Amino acid sequence: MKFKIQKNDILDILSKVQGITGRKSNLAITSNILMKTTEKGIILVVTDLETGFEGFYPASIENQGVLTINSRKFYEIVKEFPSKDIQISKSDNYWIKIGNNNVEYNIVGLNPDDFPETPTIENIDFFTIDSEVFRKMIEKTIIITGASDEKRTHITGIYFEIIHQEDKSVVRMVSTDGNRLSKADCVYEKDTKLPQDIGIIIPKKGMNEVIKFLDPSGTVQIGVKNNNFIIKKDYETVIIRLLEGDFPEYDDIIQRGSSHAIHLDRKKFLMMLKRMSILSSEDYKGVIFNFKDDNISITTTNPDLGESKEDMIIDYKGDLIEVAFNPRYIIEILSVIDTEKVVVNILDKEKPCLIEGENDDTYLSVIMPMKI
Amino acid sequence: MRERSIIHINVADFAVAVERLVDRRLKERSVIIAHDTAVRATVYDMSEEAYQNGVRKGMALRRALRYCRNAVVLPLHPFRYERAMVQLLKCALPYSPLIEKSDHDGHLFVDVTGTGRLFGPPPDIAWRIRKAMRANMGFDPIWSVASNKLVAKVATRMVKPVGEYIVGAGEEACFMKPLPIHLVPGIEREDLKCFREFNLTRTGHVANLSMGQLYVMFGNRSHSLYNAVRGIDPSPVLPVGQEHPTVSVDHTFGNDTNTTTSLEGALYRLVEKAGIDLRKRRLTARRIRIVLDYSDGRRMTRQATADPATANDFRLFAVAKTALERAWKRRVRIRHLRLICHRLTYPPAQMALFNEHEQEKRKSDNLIFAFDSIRRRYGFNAIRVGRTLN
Repeated sequence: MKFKIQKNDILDILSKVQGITGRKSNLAITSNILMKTTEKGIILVVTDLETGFEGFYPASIENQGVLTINSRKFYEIVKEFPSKDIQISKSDNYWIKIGNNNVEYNIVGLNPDDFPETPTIENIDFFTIDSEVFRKMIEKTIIITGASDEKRTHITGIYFEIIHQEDKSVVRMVSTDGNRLSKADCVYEKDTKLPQDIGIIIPKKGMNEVIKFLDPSGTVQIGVKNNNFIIKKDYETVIIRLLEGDFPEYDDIIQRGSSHAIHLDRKKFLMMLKRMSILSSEDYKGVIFNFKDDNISITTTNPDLGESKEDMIIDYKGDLIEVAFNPRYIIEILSVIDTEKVVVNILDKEKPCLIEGENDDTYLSVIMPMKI
Repeated sequence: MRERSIIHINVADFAVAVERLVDRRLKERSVIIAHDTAVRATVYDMSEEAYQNGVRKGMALRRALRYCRNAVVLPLHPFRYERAMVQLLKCALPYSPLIEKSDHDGHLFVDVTGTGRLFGPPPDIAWRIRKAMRANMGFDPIWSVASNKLVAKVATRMVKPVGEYIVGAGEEACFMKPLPIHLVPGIEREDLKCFREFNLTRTGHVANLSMGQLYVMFGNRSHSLYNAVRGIDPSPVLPVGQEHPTVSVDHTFGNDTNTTTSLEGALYRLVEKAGIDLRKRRLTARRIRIVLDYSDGRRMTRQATADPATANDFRLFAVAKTALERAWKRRVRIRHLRLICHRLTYPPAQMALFNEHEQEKRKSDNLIFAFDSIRRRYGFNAIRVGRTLN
């Protein structure tokens, strides 16, 4: 096997796949990249047994073949390689020679037959989604993560569903950690061809990797087949194995009911919360919000560090509401909302608080209060 | 506000220093203290000679012996180190009531703020403590004086294995700036990896980052890191015997045992006692530590985390059992079992979004509450669970 490839053609993709190959799995070979030649180029394959990636890149092929090489080392070699053209060839015992006239590396490879099989992608009903919209949907939902040793699927995964309504269809992603919930929608016209009602749970780890492959413009294709979630671009495909489990019923939680809708300037509110969260710690996470007479007052008390208080004028005419929240939850939500103003729907100190962008019903977040 | 004066006393390679007091033949020889002398044992502490040969804490013993072939390998003697720590404490006690000592690694923090008229300037006190330790115990500790615990600790790390360092009040940030980032206490291996990825190697590099930039990298921990790299540490030196609150309960077996039922039975009794204490204080435990003493004198300590923090016996027992499984790795009989609940905190205040386990939780809390009521009225042994009846 021997081929020549342009450094710029693969450097970007090699950096993107480090997240997948850097993850520990039961197989040592998953830290490797599989490279197989075709007539016009090479196919790169990586997997961590949960998330897989396959992409085609142009190369001039001298001899056909297949090899596997340590992903991290290959990336570092390519990154620091002094010339544009890189020649790669395979020797006996899976050794790999990388170089040009001046530089030469001989790297140990592994047997490509040991590389895990990737699912075949055939006969899938893909639908198209705007790449940027999809990236934002993922960003808005993966902000919620559970503990590192969390096992519950509805917390380790994002619920992906397609809902067909009378006048429109909605592709929805929902994420929760048991204390809060984020819902991001992409609305399609009624006539758009989308798969029938589906509800699947996709691992958040995998979705974290998907973001790297999404461009700021253009579209991607999405499909679901045989327990796999597939995202396809022109020459690149990401496949994520789905999680098995149920996602809790959340429809009641996202109902606004008779709560007070308070309109706030997003940036001012965000900075206020950042200032107030300086004194919060692992043991004293909560800050207390007091809504009264066109005023919001936020106080933090940490017996180990001290106290802080800040007021802001808002448009609120209702009764006094005193409620405590973990400020980090709200800060994370405000950081992903794009609109200048946000609407905080609040009822009392025990009911969930709903936060969304003003005039933007594609994103909604729900936070449970803390006991005072 | 008065500038604080904190002395940090650090006996380098404490376990080795104690072993050398016991056996003088070990002086100037490479010594490695290992958790166990089994094949997969790891290094607990090593002498300076072994360190110079490349041996590090936590390294596999087999690998350490490859680096340092002539090293003497000794097992851990926690009781010895505890006794030596008490002796160290006695040397510092005449100078301040505010002394914080570690369990058994040779570190003491002494707050001598405001004692100048009685004992002279802090460096003199430090020098006298060192002199007492040399005379009474034969140790030659490193000492430093600074305005807070963090800077004092960094200062002793700077001069290890022998020497002293004084950081004047107001010089903390300048002192910290050129230091390698790994010298800052609380920065872990994963953090270092993250810093390396951003090519940040010196404390000053990290100090140039804003809180927002640090938040992107470390989330909630950004605040403590922001302060640490600037040499800011408001934490007080706690009075002697008033370390962070813990609940500790012990059980000594009449006959040494290694049967699962009797160990778990004893463990549950300990959990019940600790649980009652926690609930009385209206606190919950976030971490549970198990200390096992074997018949042959070896000791094993392991811990497990309760997430969320709890004071419910059933949930405490599940966590304690995990810690016990981690600690109980030998077939030798067990003589003594200790359960320590630490990182005590107020009950979690965050409400849950879904009520999936809420009913079960309430049921078990009510049951524990009923147990408590019966015991308050009729005594601890008035009601017992089945697994404690053997």
